[in-house]
Amino acid sequence: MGESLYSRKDREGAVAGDHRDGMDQPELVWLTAYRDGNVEAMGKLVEYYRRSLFGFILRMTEGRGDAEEIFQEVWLRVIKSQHRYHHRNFKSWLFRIAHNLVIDRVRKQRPVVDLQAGALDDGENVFETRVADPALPAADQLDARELGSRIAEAVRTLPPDQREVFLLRTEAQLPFKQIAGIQGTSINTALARMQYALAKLRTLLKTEYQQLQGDPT
Amino acid sequence: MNCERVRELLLLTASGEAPADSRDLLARHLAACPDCRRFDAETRWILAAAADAPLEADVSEWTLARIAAAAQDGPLPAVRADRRAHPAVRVSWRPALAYAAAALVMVGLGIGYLRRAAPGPEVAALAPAAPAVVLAWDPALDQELDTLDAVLTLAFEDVEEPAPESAEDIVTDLARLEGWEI
Repeated sequence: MGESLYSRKDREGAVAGDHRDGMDQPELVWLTAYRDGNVEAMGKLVEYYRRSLFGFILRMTEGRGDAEEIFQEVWLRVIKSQHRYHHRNFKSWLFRIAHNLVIDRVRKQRPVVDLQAGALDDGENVFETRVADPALPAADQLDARELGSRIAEAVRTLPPDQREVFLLRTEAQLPFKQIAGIQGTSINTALARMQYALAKLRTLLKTEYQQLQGDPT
Repeated sequence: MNCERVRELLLLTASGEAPADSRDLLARHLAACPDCRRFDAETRWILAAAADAPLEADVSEWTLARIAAAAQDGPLPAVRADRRAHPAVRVSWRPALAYAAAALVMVGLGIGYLRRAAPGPEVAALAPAAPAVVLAWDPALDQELDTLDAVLTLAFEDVEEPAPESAEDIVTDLARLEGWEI
């Protein structure tokens, strides 16, 4: 693969995106208020990230129990080390903590080898090869809830690195530069992982997409 | 611009990271490439559907309560605020606290000592009746008593079978040795 468009001349755009994400964030207001003694501000901060953070952790781990433990541990670490937080982007810091805890949890558990992970991965897998791979049910009739369930199942079949990039984009809405920083890789690798993830999801969800588009084929 | 780079750029556009001057390039390529148009449409659909997909579970109230409790027990945010706003406070309050603690300990020890040292009313009433020897207690007398104790010890050890002796006899012998009047 040749040099990415991004790597050639898009650095300024990425920096501009970071700056935009880092300004006027309500979470920084709440964090400052908590530092000044307002305990309720931490509750607002937790609630603000409740869906995105728990959704990311839930779909990166096996089961609700693990997800709850990691979710709690993330916030305990935020509370414990918030006085040391000097980064401009709180969201990136928060999800980096979650990323590290998810990796720790996966490494402590017994690895389950997934042959598909190696076939689609890009060779920079920082996780153990432990992926659940449930089969998708046949798509006959589709409603919104069922579609959401099938998408969640399809996402769960992705190799962990690709799944993480996908979830950090869709759940956390993080830009690729920050995703690359969390994964400790280059932005080109993060983009490649997203492309692999989308390719697999496109295949798995082809029937659902065609149904929604009214395509009989 | 090939399709692979266009698809990267589409992802960067969606995340707000694409350069401003890429818009025209993308538009021209998409107008001429049905595969990339399909990629763009499917990608938008997948990302939107995934973002809207309901979670299989939610955080329990128990977990939220534990986080709230931890926030309540956090690292003393009010104190930290004072320390940030007034650095001099950080320097001065610790020694002051140490001095206050030391003063409390000293006062406590002093009160305990005085309560032990000061004679109560019963002891004070008995004191005038104490023998003159006791009231005139001095180091020299203490030394003599030690000597007497040593003498008595040696005397008892020299007796193979010590004869039973009444307490009255012992006191009489002791008084004779010291020249006391009984």
